[in-house]
Amino acid sequence: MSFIADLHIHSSFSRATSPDMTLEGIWRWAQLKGITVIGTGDFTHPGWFNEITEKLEPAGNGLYSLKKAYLKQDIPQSCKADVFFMLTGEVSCIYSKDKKTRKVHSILIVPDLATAAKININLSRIGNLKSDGRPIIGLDAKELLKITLDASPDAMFIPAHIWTPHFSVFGAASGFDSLEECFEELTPHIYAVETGLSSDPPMNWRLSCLDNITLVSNSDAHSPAKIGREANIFDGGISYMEMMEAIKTRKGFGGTIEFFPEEGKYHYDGHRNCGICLTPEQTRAYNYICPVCNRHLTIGVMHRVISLADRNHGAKPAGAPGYRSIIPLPEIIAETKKMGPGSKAVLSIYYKVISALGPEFKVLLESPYCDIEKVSDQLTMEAIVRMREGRVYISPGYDGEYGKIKIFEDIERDSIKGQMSLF
Amino acid sequence: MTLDSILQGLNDSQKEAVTHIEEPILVVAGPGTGKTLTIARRITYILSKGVLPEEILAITFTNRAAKEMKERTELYCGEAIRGIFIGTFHAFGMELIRRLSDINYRLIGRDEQIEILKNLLGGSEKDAQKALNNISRTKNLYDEKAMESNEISKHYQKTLNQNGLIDIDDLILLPVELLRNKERAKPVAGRLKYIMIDEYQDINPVQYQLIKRLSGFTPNICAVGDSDQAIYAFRGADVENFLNFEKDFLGAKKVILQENFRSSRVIVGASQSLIKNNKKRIENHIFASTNKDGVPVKVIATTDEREEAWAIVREVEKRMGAMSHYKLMNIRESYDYQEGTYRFSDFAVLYRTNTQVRAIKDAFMDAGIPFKVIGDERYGILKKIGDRIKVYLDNKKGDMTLQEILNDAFCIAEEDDLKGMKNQLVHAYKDIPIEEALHKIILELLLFSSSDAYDPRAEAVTLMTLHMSKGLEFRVVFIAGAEDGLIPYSATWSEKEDYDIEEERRLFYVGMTRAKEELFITYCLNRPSFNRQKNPLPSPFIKEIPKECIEHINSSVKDKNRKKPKQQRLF
Repeated sequence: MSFIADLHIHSSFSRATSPDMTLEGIWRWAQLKGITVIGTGDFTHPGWFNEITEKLEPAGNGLYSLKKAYLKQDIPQSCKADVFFMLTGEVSCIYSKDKKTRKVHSILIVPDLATAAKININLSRIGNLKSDGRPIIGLDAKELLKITLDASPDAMFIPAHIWTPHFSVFGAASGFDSLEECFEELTPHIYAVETGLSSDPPMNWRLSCLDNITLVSNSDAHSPAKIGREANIFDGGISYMEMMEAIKTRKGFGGTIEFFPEEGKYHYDGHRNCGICLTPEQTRAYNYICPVCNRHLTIGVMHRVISLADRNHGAKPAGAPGYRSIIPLPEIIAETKKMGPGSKAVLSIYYKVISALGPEFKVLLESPYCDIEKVSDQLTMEAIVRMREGRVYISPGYDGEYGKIKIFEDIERDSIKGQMSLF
Repeated sequence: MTLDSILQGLNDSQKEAVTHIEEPILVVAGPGTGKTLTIARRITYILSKGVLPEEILAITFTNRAAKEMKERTELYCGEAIRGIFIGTFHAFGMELIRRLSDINYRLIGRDEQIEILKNLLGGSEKDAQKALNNISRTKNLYDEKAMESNEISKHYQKTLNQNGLIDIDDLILLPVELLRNKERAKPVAGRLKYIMIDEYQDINPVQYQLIKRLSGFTPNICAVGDSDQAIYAFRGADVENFLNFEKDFLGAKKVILQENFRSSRVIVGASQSLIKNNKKRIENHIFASTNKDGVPVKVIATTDEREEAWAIVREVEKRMGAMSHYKLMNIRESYDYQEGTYRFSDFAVLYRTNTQVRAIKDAFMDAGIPFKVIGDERYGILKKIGDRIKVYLDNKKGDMTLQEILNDAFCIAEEDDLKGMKNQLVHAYKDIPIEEALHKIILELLLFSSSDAYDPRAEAVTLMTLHMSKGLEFRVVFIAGAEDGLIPYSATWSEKEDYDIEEERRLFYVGMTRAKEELFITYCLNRPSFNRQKNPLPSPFIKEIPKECIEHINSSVKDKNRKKPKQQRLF
């Protein structure tokens, strides 16, 4: 069977997160989105660890379920489904290697609470785990990998959002040029990398060194509504071991659900404060210096991919899993209504649509257009058509600024609305 | 090694210190002048003259220094290092007792000492502690009269003798007695030919007595140290021993190492101007090896200790670059971060008293920056918890679950941190046989409670007292709480004698000279948490630094960063 998993989120114990990132809140939104397996996030945090031990119970498949006492009934009938939690966390390693400051974020996935606890005990001698759900530790990322593997051979270590400029293994500001530079002889234990919002599989296919690495995608959500903005499709049994096997071998790994990479906040180069957004070519022409403030530009993901790529745009390695690009449904509705994606009006339409058709992923990826039109309107349907066909314009994100989606020109919007009123 | 390679890269005074081995010699080694390197080469040089490793003795002040000296020396002399005794006074004393005494003594710790005194006095823990401190002091001061005249002291010593026990102070006192007997001393007397003592300025009277005894066997005593870094008067150390070395050891030579390889010119200049105000010192003129001036010493005035701590955190953040995405959204200096080369362990925050550490810890904690507090006994209780678990193990109470045993063992712990740890331990080990689980847990707890509870692989900002910083170096150093009353420290609220201004100045000097590239001195305009004036004046030591070396920064403005991070965007 095919199901969707999002393995990188953060709890309310992380900084700058929504207070609604509780186990109950995550459980609820996983159903609204159509996610079957969701990461707990933040297992390194003692407070969150307590919540996990209190509210979750082993489901018998290496995953965990929310205990009956905590189940709520406020889920639309159309979305109700089983949700399994996988024990996950993210650690920020800030250290120096080869005389350069390195900042590398990594996702840790573990098969059971005993493994999580062993890692936590080790890490609490290294750094302070309680000041952030995603703790900063002064440890070489390679040593973190070693600690993870020592805790359990079934644990999985995935470099997080590998292209993000400031906090990743390939990041322009404080990363490396290859996985080997970072993980040395332990590199064979890296089976997967997370592509992050600002890159999609075709960008990563340009690096032959990633041919044998599974490209995974997760939301890194800090609030419930952002869960699943990127995710993975698994074709197989719902269990920890089967999913890990799928990640290791790509057998039973059905590919990823992706943001349009332009929408990510580090797609292009530039300076947010200076209002400067540049393509990689333009950046080189400016010699990496901001024309406004004369300081170093923040180098984005596209630029970094091009620097490390050994293939041209359009290459696809044999056997690479596919992907689907989406725009989150609230953003689509917001675009048609010319309102903010968090506004009440948008949310009420959102609930109406998913209550009628089923979870968001189903609406975005599967629902027949006519059904969508029936429960919303022609403009929304047209937006989803264009999204599925990739016919959207996005002004790219840069230096921490999200890209801006444009599905319709104003004049188009009016003419589609006009057609509507004609009928 | 050839003579050439032993002397390779040394300056003239270092060469002299290395090769002058057949007479007493005083090596005055200022901060950053390559002291350990010089001692390592000197040992190698002595070996190259055909001397046996067993004939060489090097005494250091701390275990850490001994370890470093061993490692550095091994680089040059290789295998021979194993035969050389390099260790602390206490380790050497233990070795002497083992060789010279027929009695197989057992060394007791502070807990046992207190127990004995409690029995003798029939009094409280407090009385016992007071008595113990007194006894320890007289032993270290080698005050024979006081030892004889004090009844408690005599009874205490008698109890020890009757039971074949010694305490930590006896490790030095007893060898002094044993070496008095020439016949008995023979096995040592015949062997020791070359003696080096590091940190000679910090030796106390009983240690001095031991060295005097040893000097009866060989004239080749090499004392290394720096009168400007003598900071242990409160433990009975006497800098006079250092100043009097040439009178004490007739024919002694004096070599002064003056080239500082550690710090920028500004830092060397600033610290020299300060220390020159001391009278009790051996005149020397430290100069920086580098020809780069470096950046000025930054003096930061802050409103209170919270603001002071945050000013420090911000300087660390500036150099490390943003720590997380939400920080990037706030701090726009991040545009200059790309070329960063720093690591957390490049930074140290130094302070005069342990009471200052709380505010600093809190700020680093809130900022999510890894830090370690040297000498922190936060986890001392974990050893006790480990001991409690051992009791279960020994009694094999088969009917209790791991959870129950840990609940009971941890009941002496109150902090949430420790309760969290208990929870983790239960989950980590509940699936293996209980006996094995308990063994593993005891080991885990021991790791936490050792004096170095921090994983050596961990890079972290170091927080410690000025005293603890001696011998260390960091790219960026902060001296916090540079206020009159804190440094120089005055205990105006107690009956203690007035502070020794020169000792306090040396302490400040030690702090300043830890910095390689940048030195920050911070002070507060309000410090109400101390039992002293609420609005302290800046430390007078700041005025002793030449104006041209200093850049003043007023940081008493509010900063957005100090607040808890707010959410960035709407979700």
